[in-house]
Amino acid sequence: MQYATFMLNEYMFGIPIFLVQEFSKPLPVSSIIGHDERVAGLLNIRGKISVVIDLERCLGLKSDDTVLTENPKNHEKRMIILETQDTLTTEAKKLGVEGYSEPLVLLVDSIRKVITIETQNYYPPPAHIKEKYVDGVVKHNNVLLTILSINSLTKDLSREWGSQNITEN
Amino acid sequence: MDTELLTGFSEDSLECLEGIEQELLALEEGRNSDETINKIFRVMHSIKGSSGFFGLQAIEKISHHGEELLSKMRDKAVPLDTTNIDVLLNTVDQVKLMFGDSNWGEGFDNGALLDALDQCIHQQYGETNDAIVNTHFDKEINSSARLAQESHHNLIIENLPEQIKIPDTKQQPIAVETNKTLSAPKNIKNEPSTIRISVNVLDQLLELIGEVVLGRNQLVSQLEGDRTFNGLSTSITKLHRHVIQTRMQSIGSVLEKFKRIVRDLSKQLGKEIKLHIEGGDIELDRTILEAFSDPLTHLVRNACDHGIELPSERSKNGKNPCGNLYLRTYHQSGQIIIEVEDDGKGIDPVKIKESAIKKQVLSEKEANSLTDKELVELVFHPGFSTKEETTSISGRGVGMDVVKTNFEKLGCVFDVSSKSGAGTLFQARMPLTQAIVDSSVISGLIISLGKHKLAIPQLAVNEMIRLVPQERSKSINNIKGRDILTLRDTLIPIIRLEDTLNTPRIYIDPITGEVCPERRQSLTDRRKNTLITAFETGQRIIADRRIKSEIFIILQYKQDHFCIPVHKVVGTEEIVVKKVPKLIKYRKVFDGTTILGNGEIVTILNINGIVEEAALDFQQARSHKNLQQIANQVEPDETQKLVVFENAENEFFAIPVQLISQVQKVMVSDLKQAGSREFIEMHGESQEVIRPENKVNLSPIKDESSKRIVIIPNIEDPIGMLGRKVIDTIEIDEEKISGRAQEEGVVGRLFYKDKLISILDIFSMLGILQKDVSSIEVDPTIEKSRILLVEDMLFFRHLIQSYFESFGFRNITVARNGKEALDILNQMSGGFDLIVSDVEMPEMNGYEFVSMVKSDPNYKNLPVLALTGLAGQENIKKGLEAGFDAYEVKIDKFNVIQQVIKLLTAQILG
Repeated sequence: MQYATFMLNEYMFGIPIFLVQEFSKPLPVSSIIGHDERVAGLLNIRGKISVVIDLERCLGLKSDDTVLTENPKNHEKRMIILETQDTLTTEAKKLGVEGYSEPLVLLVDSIRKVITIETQNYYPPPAHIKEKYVDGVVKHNNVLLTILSINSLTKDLSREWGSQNITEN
Repeated sequence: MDTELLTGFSEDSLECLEGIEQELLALEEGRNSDETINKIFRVMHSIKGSSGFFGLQAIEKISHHGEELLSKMRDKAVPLDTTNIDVLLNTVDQVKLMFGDSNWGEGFDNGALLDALDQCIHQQYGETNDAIVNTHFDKEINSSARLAQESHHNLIIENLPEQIKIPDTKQQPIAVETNKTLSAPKNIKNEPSTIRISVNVLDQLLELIGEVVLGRNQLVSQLEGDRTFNGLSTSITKLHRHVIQTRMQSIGSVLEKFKRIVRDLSKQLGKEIKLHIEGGDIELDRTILEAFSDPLTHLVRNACDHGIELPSERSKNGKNPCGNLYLRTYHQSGQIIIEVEDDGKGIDPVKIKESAIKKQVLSEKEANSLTDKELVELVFHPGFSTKEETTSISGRGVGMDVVKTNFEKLGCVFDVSSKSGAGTLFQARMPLTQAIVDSSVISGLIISLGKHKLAIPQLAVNEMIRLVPQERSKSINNIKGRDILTLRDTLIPIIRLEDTLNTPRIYIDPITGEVCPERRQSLTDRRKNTLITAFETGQRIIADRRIKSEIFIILQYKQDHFCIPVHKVVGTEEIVVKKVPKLIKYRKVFDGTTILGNGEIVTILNINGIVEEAALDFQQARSHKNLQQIANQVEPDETQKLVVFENAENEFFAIPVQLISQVQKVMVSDLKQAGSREFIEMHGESQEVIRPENKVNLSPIKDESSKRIVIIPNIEDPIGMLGRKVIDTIEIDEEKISGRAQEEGVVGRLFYKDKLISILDIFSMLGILQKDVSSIEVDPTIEKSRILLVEDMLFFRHLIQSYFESFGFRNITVARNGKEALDILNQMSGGFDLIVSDVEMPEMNGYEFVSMVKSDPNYKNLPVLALTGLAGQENIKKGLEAGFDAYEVKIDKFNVIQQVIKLLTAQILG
């Protein structure tokens, strides 16, 4: 399967390319009052209101404390606009790729190349890696990179706030 | 087999079956039996035919039997009694189930039902014959005969009487055939004026039109004034409204299903219950209606099970053995009211108390301190049921608390009132504003708080005030760390949104404009010492110069208010409500999100959510309100607050603060002329304005500046008044308002700090625009009539008195409130021909007063006219119920004087 890779701080991560709708330069984000800093804010993507997730903060990799909109380095950042479950191709679904029900955007440090990983190079997360949102680890050209589980990330975020959420009808 | 065709058939049939359920119930009540049976018959018949065509044998068989029974019913071979209708209802249910089945009901065990149907079909008419059915029967003969005549089957007409006297099964088929040929053509096509659209399509339409509106809003700034664009824009607005309309359903569609539920329940429980559905034409969005359905069902079941007693019990208590259950929906003052009322045994507060103590919901001491009403409200306590044992009908583990929560989630206020032995009333009041759904367009107030922008539904905003430092230090206080705003003698809690959302408070440095975390604990922090000095010495509080003016938005939550400080008001905008993404924290506080015209995304505040999140308890606050009312009565307010405006340089006019609803800044260039009248656009609507100098003796504004203010009076259909600027709010002794000016439009003049201020009579000023009162002539015989004028505000006393005097009425006695008026009445028994009374007064209000007057035999015939600022149908109704002979609004001078003359003429000249 093909993976899109990107950098967060100094680490390399990947997500299935099927999940990626497009890569983008940082767009102006509307921040939400009183919100957890792991969500950078809301973004209007062709009329759809999308939630921008600050991956570094989610994974606890953020070194400096400046907020997204005020960081001068931000123009170097990139956004990955994800497909939703509805827009995923049937092929992706067959391969077990799961999208989120609502539009999401990931905020990352930089985008790297798209790589193809053979199944035999795919390993479950090693025991001493406590990271919650890891689907597995893959080896490409002898470099290990982490495959993120968007699913467990979104589940975690919504579960954590579940107590404050109104019941879904 | 063509699946699409089959699905269509199934959907069609289900809908028809839904319809005939109601018809069957109508039949049972003995309504429209002739046409109704035909209708039901046709449905059964077409289901039978089509299912045969599709090869759905099970359905075909059962509908065939149903059809046969119906045809016998139609031909009076079997009676229209409860047993038969029961069987038919069961048949309908079964067929519905079969349509829902993946295998079209093949393999269902319908044996019992088919037997029952057979039994009904083959019963002899005489078996269940009784007088009632017989009369029905006779009626039917004529109509059958007429029917037959129309089809020129003369033979049958002659035969018919025979057929009835001696039911002869052999002749039945002929009759069936006749009717079939008659009714068949009607059955071929559905109504052509409606088509079926799936809800998904409607939802998509709504979402799309929402996006169109958003796009339009974003173009407004670039294309404003472009004629093509304006036309397009109007069409888009219309289109949006229509799309919203397609999702609306009348609440009646939800209420209808209760007919069946109540019928079945009453049979099951052995009770007689008559269901009355009133209203039902109110339209609401589908999603809201669906949400109402469950809690309503619960209430109805509860009323049938717990509320209404068994017939024997009812007779014993002297009630009609048949219980009544009312389902009502209606509009009232901007709210949708939904009521479920029964005339059952009611909720017994004593029983509730015992039960509450037994279940350790309350201690005995606590329970004893509660009023009956509070005890009744305990039914909303989680896990509370007074019925000894739970039943299959309403004791299913979901208590009334869930019902209440469900209603409240919809933004309703939910209440119960009950009289032991007489019945229970559940009432849900939903503000129309609450009915915000996805993709609807609302008017939103955009504010900013630090770097965040937020939208507040305009309808929730009561008012906005800007406090300058001077005013601010007087108006904001702090009790135990909570800030309080004092506004016109009410204390309004100040809620910091940042606190509610657990984020650091934002402070904007007034000089540098820098946004930084707020260090003050409270809005009053820096003035602690100043406050103490003020408190102990009564010195004026000196303004904190470090603070700039601040803006407070006063929000309405049900009938209470709270306010939030904001940094900036950006403006109002038509916004399209979009869902709140799931990954947003504090979703309760947000009602939705929206995209502004400039592309920015903002969240929309949910008032209920804020109240909940900030844990505001207005209930508790309200119980203390009485204290304040008592306090108000002790100190009758004899001072009058006036807002002073400047018109031309150094010319001032004033208007009582109670009469002003809002003051808004406008530009002269925004004024538009239409003939001699002037209009200005406010909140998207055109507002007529007048210049005071054109109406009363004031100099025109010479100032070249383009800024003006518009004063909107607090009356119905107000006309705005232009002024140059607001000077101050002053408080004066009412008695100081010197002599009644003999000048139209001016109540009086006074000196305040060496300035001459004219107090305007906005009623007559605006009245001039309405109707010319000079045409009214007063008969000299009634000029001498004695009028008792009851009015608490001196201002109005003068005003009304002088107005009446201008028509020649000289004998006017005034009283300040109901109590005083009663004293005067008692002293001068028989001394008056007419009472003119205000409604809202201290000590004794107009309603109380009039009912006292009318209950006294001496004054029973003395006409009482209510004169008030409160218009509106309910007020008028309430007033007339209380005993007022007529009801007029103060502003409407023309009608007021006409009414006075009318009442007096009737009284004096008989």
